[in-house]
Amino acid sequence: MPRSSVYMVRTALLWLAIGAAIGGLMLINKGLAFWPALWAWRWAHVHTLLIGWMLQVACGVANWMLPRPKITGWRGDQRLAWWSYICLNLGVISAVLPGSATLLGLGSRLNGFYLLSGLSYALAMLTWVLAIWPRLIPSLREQKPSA
Amino acid sequence: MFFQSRLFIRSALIYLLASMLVGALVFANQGLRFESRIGALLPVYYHLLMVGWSTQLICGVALWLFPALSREQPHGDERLGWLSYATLNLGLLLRVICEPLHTWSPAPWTGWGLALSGLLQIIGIWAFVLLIWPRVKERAPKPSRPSKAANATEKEK
Repeated sequence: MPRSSVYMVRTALLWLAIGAAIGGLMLINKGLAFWPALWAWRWAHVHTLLIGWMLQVACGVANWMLPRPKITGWRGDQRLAWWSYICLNLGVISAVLPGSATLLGLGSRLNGFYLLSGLSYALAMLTWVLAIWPRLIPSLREQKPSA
Repeated sequence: MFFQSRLFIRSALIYLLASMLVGALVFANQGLRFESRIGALLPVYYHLLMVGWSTQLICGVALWLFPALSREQPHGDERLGWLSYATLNLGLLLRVICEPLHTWSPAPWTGWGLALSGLLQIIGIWAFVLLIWPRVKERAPKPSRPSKAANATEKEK
């Protein structure tokens, strides 16, 4: 597994643990109503699990598993994969901040971070697609001319 | 594919079927409005799909596919895997029962059922993270072979 995939998958696992804890707390709160303001974290729950966990683990595993066109084990431009990793996680952190601020009684002051989150996600996916695109090549069997 | 991994994936497939049934009911009701209480099944549908199907499928495939931990213990500590499987599924099933009931007519036992469900699912996910974490690793460098020149000097000696 390349280092970029190790970072992506491990960070995805961290988001899974955080997102599950937020979701679990919200469910406990739904049953026992001990902290009504916890509902402000629902978007943090959605972003950590859908983007931070599911999308990131898929990107990390694809970066590891997809074909490597050159015999040297070339995995595409890994700088693009690293930029994708940075932007995706910046996006998730930016999506978690507004809800956390509301929860801490700071109101909607940090809602502007949702814009940063959206832009970061777009940049993350652009760099990831560019990183992975050259690796989607026909297999050697397909490349051989038919007899 | 070892047994624990197959169990995760087969359970995920069952949740996929269940979520499609619940989803069909919820969406049919959104169009035809035959029973107002069915709307309470929407969060159950989401979580059957995202926890029962997607997350559990990823867990099963990761257990099978990720690099082996060691020659003696290729899948890591399987007890953590069993703890994760049991608590995640028990928690999700408890949610499927208690969440709609709690919405329709809240009672102390449905509230405590939801709380227990939340706790069980947190334990299930954290156990999985602990299990798989050490298996997410770079390939260990191969031991370097002695060069031909070194071999020749060895023979001369």
